[in-house]
Amino acid sequence: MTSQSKPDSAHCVFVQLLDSSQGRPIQVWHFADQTTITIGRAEDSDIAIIDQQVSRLHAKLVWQEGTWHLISLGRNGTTVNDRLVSEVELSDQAIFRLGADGPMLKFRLTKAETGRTETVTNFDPSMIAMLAIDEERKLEEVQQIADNALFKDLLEKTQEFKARREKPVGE
Amino acid sequence: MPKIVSTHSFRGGTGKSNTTANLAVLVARAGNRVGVIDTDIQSPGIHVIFQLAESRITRALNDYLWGHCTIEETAYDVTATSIGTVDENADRPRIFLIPSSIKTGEISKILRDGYDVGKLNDGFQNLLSDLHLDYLFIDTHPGVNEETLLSIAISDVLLLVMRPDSQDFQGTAVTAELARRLGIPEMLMVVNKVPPGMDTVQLREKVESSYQAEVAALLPMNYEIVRLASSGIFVNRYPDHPMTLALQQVAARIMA
Repeated sequence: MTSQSKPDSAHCVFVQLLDSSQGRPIQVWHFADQTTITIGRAEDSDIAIIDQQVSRLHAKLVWQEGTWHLISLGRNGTTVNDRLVSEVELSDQAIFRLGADGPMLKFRLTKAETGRTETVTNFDPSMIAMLAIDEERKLEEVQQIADNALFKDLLEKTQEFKARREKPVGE
Repeated sequence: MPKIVSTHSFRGGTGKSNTTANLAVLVARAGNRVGVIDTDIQSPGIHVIFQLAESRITRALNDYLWGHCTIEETAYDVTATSIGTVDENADRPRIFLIPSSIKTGEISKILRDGYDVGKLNDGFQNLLSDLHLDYLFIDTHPGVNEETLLSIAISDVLLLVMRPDSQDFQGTAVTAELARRLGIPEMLMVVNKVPPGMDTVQLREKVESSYQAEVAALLPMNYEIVRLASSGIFVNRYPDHPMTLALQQVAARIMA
């Protein structure tokens, strides 16, 4: 492939999936040495997004004549600045949306980082890593409730309550 | 033997009532008699999803708890609006809704004066027997209080609805531990509002290992349910939506 048909190897593409309410990135894909990046619901898409508004092959990012182009292919269309587009040249930091109010993506051109020259898909691990249980605090709170007379009373009555399932009481 | 299914979440806004209503409809549509009781006395709302007009609610759970009527008198047949036309004489499917009062005076009165939780339990049992229910879904108030604990204690299945959010994660752990101490036979996790792009395999593993409970569904954050704005049953409106398919699996799990 010639240098004209391929993006500058010193640059690569980042595509960020943005949280629609806050606009912060919740997933990032990083590509180098690719001239076509597919976006869609299909699992084998370069950027796979499961969403009702996203078609199996919804859009493509294509390197053409020295610039990146967004080509919309999905049934629900693709918007840039709230305008439906079929094909548009993308500038650095451009934001586009799949479907009228579907997932929002940000396109970024950036210099390749050392050690990250291969195509990778990065999920922001902090999103799941932050989900943690403070066991000590949990047990403290549970104990406070379990020590309450109401809880003890309930514990005693539970069997009695369950037994009434077979013998309903009059009202 | 009929099953009692409680739906609970530690915080509000998890989609608990929508999940309850949609599961109840799916279970009823499978040919069952289903009751749905709104024990979220402080902030009732499930009647909106079932499109039960407030003007039709002449008696609510509050009236039963004050001894003004029987529990069956507070049950509204919502089969037509939530399932469709069913032969009048057919026993199944049927779906009944027991709403809480939406009158602010009645809400504050019951919060101020309290009520006999034992009577609430009697109400659950009488609903099962008098309405010949196969399933009773209890939509609880978020957080932990006496009626929540009672609902959990007498349930066959507890559905804990949470978002992938650190506050939900911690609070749900407290409820899950209390449920275990109360001897809940089956506890299922429903993770709702999962943002697009979140690694669902990692998330499922994290939730299952943290709570030592099965994840019955990971429901995607979706725009359609926001548009519906709680004014209808999602699974009826969007029968092929990934969320509907996931809820069908939970319903099948409940009926297993």
